[in-house]
Amino acid sequence: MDKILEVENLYLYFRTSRGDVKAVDGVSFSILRGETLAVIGESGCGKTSLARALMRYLPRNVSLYRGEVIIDGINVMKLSDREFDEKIRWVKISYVSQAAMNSLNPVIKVVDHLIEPLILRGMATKEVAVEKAREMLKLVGISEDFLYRYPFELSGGMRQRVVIALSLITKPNIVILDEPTSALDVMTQANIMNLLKKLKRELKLTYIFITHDIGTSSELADKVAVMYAGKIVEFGPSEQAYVDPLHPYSKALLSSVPRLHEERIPTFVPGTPPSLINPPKGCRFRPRCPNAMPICEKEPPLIKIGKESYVQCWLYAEK
Amino acid sequence: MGYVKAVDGVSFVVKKGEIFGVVGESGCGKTTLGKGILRLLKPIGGYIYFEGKDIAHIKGKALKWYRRVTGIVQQDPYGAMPPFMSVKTILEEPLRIHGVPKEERKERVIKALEEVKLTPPEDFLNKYPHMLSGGQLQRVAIARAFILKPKLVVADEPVSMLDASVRVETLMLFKELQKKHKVSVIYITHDFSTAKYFSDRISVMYAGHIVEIGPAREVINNPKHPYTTHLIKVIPDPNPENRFTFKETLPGEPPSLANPPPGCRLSPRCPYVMDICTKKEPPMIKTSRNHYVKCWLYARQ
Repeated sequence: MDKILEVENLYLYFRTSRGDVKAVDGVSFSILRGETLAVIGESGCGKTSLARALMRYLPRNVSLYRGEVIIDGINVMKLSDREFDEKIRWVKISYVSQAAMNSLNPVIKVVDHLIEPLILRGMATKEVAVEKAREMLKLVGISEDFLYRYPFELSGGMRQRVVIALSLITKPNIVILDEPTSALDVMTQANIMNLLKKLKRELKLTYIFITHDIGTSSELADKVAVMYAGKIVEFGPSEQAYVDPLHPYSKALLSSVPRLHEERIPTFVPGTPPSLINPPKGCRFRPRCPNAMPICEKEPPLIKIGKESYVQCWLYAEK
Repeated sequence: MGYVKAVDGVSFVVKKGEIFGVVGESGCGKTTLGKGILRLLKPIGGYIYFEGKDIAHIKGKALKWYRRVTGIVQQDPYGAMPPFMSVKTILEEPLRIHGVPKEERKERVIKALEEVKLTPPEDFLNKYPHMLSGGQLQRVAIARAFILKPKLVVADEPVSMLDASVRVETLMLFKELQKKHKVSVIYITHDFSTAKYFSDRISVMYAGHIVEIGPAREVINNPKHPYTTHLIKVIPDPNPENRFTFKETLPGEPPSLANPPPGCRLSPRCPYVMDICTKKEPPMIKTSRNHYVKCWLYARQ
């Protein structure tokens, strides 16, 4: 399989009155076509900022936006905003945002939401676009009767399905799912996860699944990236990440999950994540790490473990 | 126009010093139940016995007494705290209202902060809610709920707004306090996995009814009601195998509580539905010691 997305040394800083917030601070990874990457971590670790950096949805106070992002062979950081909008956003990569079901405009009918990305980019005539919208709605499990309804006439789960249909209408290669189910009920959440799995198989989609819910992340993830304070501290296959994670933070995070089907007393990570304005020097987890050593005051290198795993931790450095 | 039957004929007992979990999806009536028990809402029928005394219809002085012996912790700590009051004022308010002398108040506020491990307390006394993290503020809320030494605390989704890693820490702290002061707790949540570790018994609510009650681990490891079994099956633990399988879910969505279906309220979605289920409401049936289920499947022929 080939790489559909390659990210090298990506940085995204925001300017505030107290200093720069280093939300994404030198992040590198790649995803193969058809693979799902789960990005997990506590809130404020930079997960959503990473998604925004990839989609180039940037607020005005960006102070640093740098790095290399190659999507389906195109180095997108070299493109102008206009080119990015024409060739990449919603064409190659689309986005289901947090609480997406509330992002539908209440006075615009479902069909008009769905055809907009096609019409806007001149990808289809109105008749063709409406036909595609009809197909897409059926694909996400909503009767075509709802095509001409308004968002408020749909339940939360159905609205979430519409937003998923919207992210797929232009047939992108990569879909970023940012907490796609965290506002939904347990049963609705399970239905949406089933749908996402089905779509992944049928359309050979690549997902980037951002969530703080580790149990749910394992419903889709082939690979897992664990983020802490703006950095990816561990990256590897889910067989490693959910069973025997490498980084002390990943270990702590996994053991904090209360298990429903197993008897294992959850433990907690003492302390709180650091400020992204003045993160600790060296390894950012050092102040909370049970294995901290003097060398941890120096920034740890990215160390390759086995075939596919990477960890940013001095514990794994060769002596 | 009609009534939304949010809590519709519910009966249960909470023991002294017990944590009683109420688990259900949004809109099942669990928050309304909690508010009814605290008498923040007035039930339109039925009784609530607190230490043998019916508090469903009390008012005035008796209600003020009931406010003193009960406490509440809500979901959103930022919404539950007045933003213009300092931590000290917030914690002192219940003491002031219930006539604790001034000299004693400061001492009790400091002790309350120590109990929820916001130490040294002096660092927190003059802080305002926006200066604290969600986890810290929720601990202030817990301290506030316990400061009058209540006998019953209703905790309505106390950790669902918090980060996953802080949830466990906060619940453990809560349990420590509960044990120390021998308080009964009603723990309202949509999250079965925290209910498992935090509660002694669990009740499951669906569309305004309690459909199952039993010891926490018994309900989770050996659920009886079709609603409970399906709900428990779809909740994932972290496991790399999850991605290869589809979940068996119930079709449809919970009914409107303004116009619930006749008979068993799960009947339109239940895979085991029988004739009787759509006609008659099932009774609460005992399946084993302390385990009850509201389902016709378990009725004796």
